Amino acid sequence: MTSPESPAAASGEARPVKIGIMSFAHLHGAGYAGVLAGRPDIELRAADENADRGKPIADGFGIPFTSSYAELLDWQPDAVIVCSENARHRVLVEQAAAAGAHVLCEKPLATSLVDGRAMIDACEAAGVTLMTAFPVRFARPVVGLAKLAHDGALGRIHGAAGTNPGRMPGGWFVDPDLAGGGAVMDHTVHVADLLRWILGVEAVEVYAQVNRILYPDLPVETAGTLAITFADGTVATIDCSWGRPKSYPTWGGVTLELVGEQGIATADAFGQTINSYHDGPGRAGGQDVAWSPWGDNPDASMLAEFIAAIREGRQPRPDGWDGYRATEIAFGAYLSAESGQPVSLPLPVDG
Amino acid sequence: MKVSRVGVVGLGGIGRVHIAGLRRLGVQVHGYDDIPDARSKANEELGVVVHPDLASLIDAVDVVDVCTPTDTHAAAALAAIRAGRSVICEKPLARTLGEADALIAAADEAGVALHVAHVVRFFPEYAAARAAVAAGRIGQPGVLRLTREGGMPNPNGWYHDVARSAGIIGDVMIHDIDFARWIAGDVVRVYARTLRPAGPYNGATHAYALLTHASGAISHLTASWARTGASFRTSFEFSGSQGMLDYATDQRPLLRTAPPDLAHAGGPMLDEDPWAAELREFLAAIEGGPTPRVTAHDGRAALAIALAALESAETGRAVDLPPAANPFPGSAPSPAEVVSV
Repeated sequence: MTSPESPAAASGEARPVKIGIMSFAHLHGAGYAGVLAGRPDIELRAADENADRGKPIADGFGIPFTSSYAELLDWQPDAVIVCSENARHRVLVEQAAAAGAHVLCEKPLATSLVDGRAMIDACEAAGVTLMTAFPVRFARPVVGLAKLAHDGALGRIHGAAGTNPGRMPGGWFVDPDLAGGGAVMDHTVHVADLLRWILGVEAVEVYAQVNRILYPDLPVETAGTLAITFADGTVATIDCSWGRPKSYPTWGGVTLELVGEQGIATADAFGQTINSYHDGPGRAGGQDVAWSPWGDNPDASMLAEFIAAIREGRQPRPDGWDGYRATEIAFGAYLSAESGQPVSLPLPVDG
Repeated sequence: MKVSRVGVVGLGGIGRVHIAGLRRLGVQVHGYDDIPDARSKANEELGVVVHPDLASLIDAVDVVDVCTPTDTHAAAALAAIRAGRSVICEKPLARTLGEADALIAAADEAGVALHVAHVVRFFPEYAAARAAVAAGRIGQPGVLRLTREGGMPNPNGWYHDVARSAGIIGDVMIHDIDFARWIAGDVVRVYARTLRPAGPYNGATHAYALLTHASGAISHLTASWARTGASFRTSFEFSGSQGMLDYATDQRPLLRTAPPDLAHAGGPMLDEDPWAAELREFLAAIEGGPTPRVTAHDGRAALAIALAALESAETGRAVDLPPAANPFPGSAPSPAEVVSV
């Protein structure tokens, strides 16, 4: 980690950046707290309307906690990180923007284009920045892949195949009202964002198929595959399925293959792992296999960009529109899965 | 003491890696090499402050970083220590145990730091494995397997001369000797075989060693320069009373490309390379920070094991090592602690 530039760059005075975490509904909230807690350049607090959920996490990191978002915002944080259930992003982002706090919002940005647009507008009106939490952009193998593409080392890119397999997360993630959908909503947007960023063009069409075979009792789709056409003709696919069984050694991962005229390259975003097997005392326990990570933490790199942008008074990347366009591809996928035919993008905002 | 100038002695391969790491740490880098051609190249290509002789370099810097061939470590390091400079020394600490002991004694006497650059402890995947062992994930280590293999380096290089380098065991295997000892503790017996599948040169190009640790744990080590035409790779597997860890550098390519060479253009896969990480930890210690994860005594212990392996390979007999003055039990929690993890 490089040390941040002097903060309030204008004043030249290096005071800590005040950051509030709004809700720990999404587990990434605890991950971000782990990166930020205890740092001299950060003052960290947290709020969660569900104190049973939030307080133990905040206590674990030794950060002040309140069950009132208004109280957290009265503290006048420079910025907030919104990690609520997907459908509740909008109300918290609007509250934070009204209080003058810059916003880092967990993905997917919103569960409707109307909400996403309203969040972007609210932040713009309040003069605060909105960043969407796409940490995979900051994973080293992905940074390397993007560099190959952006430097032209692969030549013109014709095709791309991405995967974001995961474990079925359970909880509110499988509640269509709170999550906005199932696997498509949860796991399309990371790769969709990488594709837009690396290719530098927008998607113009999406086709998708989904099913519920893996977990038939859940009220949401648990597997899906998309094919996307971009404005330059590039064809990309995304597998967003919750296909990893519990006994798989890790929660999931992200891979992306780019097929160009001068080369093919595949990044394994979370490939920096060692294999760890544990039977317990007497080697008598059940099977416990894990891939333990050892690489740089993409969450930390993403938060460094967020904090640097606050200190430098600039817009962090990826921004709110990146979040919006990625969700648009997911919403298009649902429409396509319903109709059985490709769907043109962009979608109307109130569609 | 604030370190602002570091002098690198030996401007060959590893010297250049250290120079790049020191640059990233923001210290002024000075350099010296016995070979005039290396000095002029360093001046042009590396932009370091090059000195005409060792004394001039030592005089100009706070810390001396010895990156010369193994048999000349001791002379350069001793000159620096006697001038009151803290020293970072590339592995192995020295070519002989007498030299190693003299270095440690001289540093103690002069009140300066002596660090040995066993960089594998700073590779994050190896450090993660050690942390897992320390957390009790595998219980008590029982069987360790470490491999380090690549193609032939410069066939005329000094490292093929056993008298200078202690051969493939002293130059390559010593990395894993140190790491195996960090995991499973002191070594009491060594059996090693050296082979020449690639060559012929004046030394072995492939070696196996079986280490017996004081705990009873066994380590199997492979070092090779015979992996012709393929890329350098390393791997480890640590089995213990409760579990196992394994890893190979080629198990999950982070960026797989066609053509294969394209991957290099993707840039580094770590914010800080292990050499920069090790130098940062050493410089912090010299500036009054915590003791680094590897000490000169660890370097001396690794050298003793490597030289015993060399002796075993020459005699065909297993070689017993004397008990350590300060026993090191390895990184796992004690067996009593392990049961309750």
